[in-house]
Amino acid sequence: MSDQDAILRVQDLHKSYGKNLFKRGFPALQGVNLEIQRGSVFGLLGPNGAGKTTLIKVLLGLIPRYQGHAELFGIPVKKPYLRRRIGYLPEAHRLPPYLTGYQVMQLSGRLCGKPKAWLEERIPGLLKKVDMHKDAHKKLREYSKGMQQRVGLAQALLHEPELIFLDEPTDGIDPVGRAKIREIIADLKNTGTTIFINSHLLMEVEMICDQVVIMDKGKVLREGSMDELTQSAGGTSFHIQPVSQELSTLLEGIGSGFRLRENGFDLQVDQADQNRVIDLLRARDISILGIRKQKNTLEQSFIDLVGENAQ
Amino acid sequence: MNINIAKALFLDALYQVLDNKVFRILVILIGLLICVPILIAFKEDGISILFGTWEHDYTSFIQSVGPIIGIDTGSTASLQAFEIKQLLIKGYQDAIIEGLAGSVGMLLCIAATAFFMPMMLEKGAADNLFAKPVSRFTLLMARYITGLLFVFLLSSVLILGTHAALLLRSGESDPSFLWTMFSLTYAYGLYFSVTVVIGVFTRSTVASILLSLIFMTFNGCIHGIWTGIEHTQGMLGEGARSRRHIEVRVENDEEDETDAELSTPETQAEGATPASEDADPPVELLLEEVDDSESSSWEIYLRRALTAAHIALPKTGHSDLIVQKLRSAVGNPNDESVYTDDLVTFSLNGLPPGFVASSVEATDLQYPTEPDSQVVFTASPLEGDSSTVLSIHRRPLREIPIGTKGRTRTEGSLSASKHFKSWLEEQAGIELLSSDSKPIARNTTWNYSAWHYEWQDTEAGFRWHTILVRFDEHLFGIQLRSPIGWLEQHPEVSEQFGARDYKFGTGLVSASRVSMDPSTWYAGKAKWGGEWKFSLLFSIGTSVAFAGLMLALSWLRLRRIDF
Repeated sequence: MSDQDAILRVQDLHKSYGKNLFKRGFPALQGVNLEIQRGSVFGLLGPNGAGKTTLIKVLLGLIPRYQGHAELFGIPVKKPYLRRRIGYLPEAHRLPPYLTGYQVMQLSGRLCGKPKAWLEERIPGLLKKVDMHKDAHKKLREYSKGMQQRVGLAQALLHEPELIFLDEPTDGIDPVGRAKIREIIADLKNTGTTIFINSHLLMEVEMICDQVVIMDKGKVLREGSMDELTQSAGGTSFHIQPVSQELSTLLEGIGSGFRLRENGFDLQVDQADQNRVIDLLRARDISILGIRKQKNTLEQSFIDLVGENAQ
Repeated sequence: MNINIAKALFLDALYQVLDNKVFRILVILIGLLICVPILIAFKEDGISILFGTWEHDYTSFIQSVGPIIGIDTGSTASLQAFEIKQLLIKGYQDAIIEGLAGSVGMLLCIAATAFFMPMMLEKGAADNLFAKPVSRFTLLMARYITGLLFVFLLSSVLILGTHAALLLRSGESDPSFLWTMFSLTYAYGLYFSVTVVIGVFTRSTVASILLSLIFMTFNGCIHGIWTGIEHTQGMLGEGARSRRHIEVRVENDEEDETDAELSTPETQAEGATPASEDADPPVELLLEEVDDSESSSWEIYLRRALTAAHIALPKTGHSDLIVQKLRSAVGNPNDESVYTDDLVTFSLNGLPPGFVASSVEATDLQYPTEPDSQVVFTASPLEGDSSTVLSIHRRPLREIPIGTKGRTRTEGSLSASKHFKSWLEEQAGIELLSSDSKPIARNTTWNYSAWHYEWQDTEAGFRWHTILVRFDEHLFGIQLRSPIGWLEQHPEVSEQFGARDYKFGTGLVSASRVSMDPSTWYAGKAKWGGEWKFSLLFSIGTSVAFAGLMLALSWLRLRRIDF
């Protein structure tokens, strides 16, 4: 991809809290470099205090003082008009309790410069999409946390932004609601919207995102596609029938780490050894029901990376 | 700013305020205040309560309720019904203005809007709002302007409602009362800038309310003390100025000089010996000018600091004064002096019934008080004989000789009165009908006295009433010329003008300089331009600059906040 496709670019970004003449402060970001391509669903992962929310807030202009360079759409993030192209669902947000869900949508849309007629056309459909159309005219103080989260998501999508930041989007949402949100995100991705997700729910991220960054202590530990982060450790699972104890003798000298299972065995092999194993099994008239490359889960990769960084 | 963004910010603030309990209390309070002139109608002859359920004439009403509502039953005894009606209506309007502008209403308005900034900056709420494509400066100004708008709306409802109620139920309309909407908003705007800066720095609603109230008290004290000191100094300075060049040796048998006899508390405090009417020995009256040289250095620094604070802080108390001046600027004579002298703080507070200001040439008046007098004001009856004229004459005090050594001194009102009497007696055809041997009004505190003469020219067919009074270094003659017999047909004018018990300071004429109340004294001195201390434009300029500074500080802080 060319540089022109980068929708977000951060270079050597530093941010310290509580820094003054007498205090060094707490470093929340320490030289973060990042680039996100247009149209991707990007996951930002990291333990508490890793600097994820700080990074998002810098990009949204909520933190005005920092060192380094941050731009969206090729424009420095300090320009307020830039945010017309951005949607944001904050973590632990507090939408105005004195407004109804519908009024929140109107307020949000108008603050993004959208006219009333345009909003009246778009709001009902969007509220229906997040399943809030029936309670749209209740005040927010009457909403549950999950309902507020859904309205928050709807207002973030209202003005059809090109880039959406979702900070813990499924926080407080039930499993059905989460599936609905995943569906919405998939729809957005299909329309070419770039989505930036910060979440602790690694399974969610694994299901939704195609690019991931793992941060810790204000630094980027690893960045890449989901496949790259959960790449195989070399293990292959063979699903066969019948399973017998003789298999260990049969496959002796091929690969390593043989482990017999109820419906087959695991073995660390390269492609050539894998072919040899298949040949041997077939020669013994053993049925091969399936072969699957073993992968790390995102959670495992995350724990491994953060653990290594802690050491 | 995009119109949609402006509308959104306005609607957000509107919903926020409507949801606020203090705002609801304010609305109820305003409703009750408007109900009063609806339920109590001030008719021509009395008061009608609850649409005629109870009716009282003004005399009995004032006697029973007057002391409770702060009306002196003695001072209103000679007033006619329509005057009492106006007095009561004006009293109610003043109570609303002062109650709101000065105290309870302002506190409630601050309490109702103090949460604007802190709530906007709360964690969670701020993330959502500040991530929108709106600059922080716009958000700050939108909140400030919305605060002003809501107070303007509230005060508009109150003032328009009260005005409409008085008009419909009592038939009384004073359009100048409507200016109050602006004075309330102006005073609130100055205070709200402080509330905003506190809100931005502390991000706490409670702190905003408490610190704003503390500031209001502090601000009021600073201006009150400054005005009090200026008032005292002004009075001492004026008293001393009028006499500092006099080193008087009063010869009791030579001159019965009333003005010199009178002494101020200040002169007494300074040890000056007051001359008395029958003091035998000559009295040396030495008055020293009051200046900083008498004060210790810390007093001077303290006074300078106080002056600096007075200049810097918002002069919210001047809001009513500004409105009064605006009212007079648009030509409403009801509440403003019909004549204010430009040399001394002498004013004519009203005209006899049926009179309006006119522009009669001095040459048409016949018998101006004295040859060196200048006619500064004239008024005539709206209907009837145009030869009836009320005029005010002014001349500088003369230097008159004392004793035989060629020394002189400035004449007092008694000397001037005697001079006038002699002059009258020299005029051919003039008949002096009455000349009092004692002043008809005297104020021993601020050293003035007034003398009354009634005289006529039978051949010309005119009769004159002249009241002479000295203020500072000028002698004023308030003179009514009317055809012989006219006053007998107009007792309401006769009562007001020619009576011996004419009351200075409370009646037709007053000199605000002589007031003991610093606020009234300041109000008399205040003008649009002139010396900065009394310039309303300076007051507005420095107050608005203060509010601007507060908003600038708020913005500087807001643009550095990490949400």
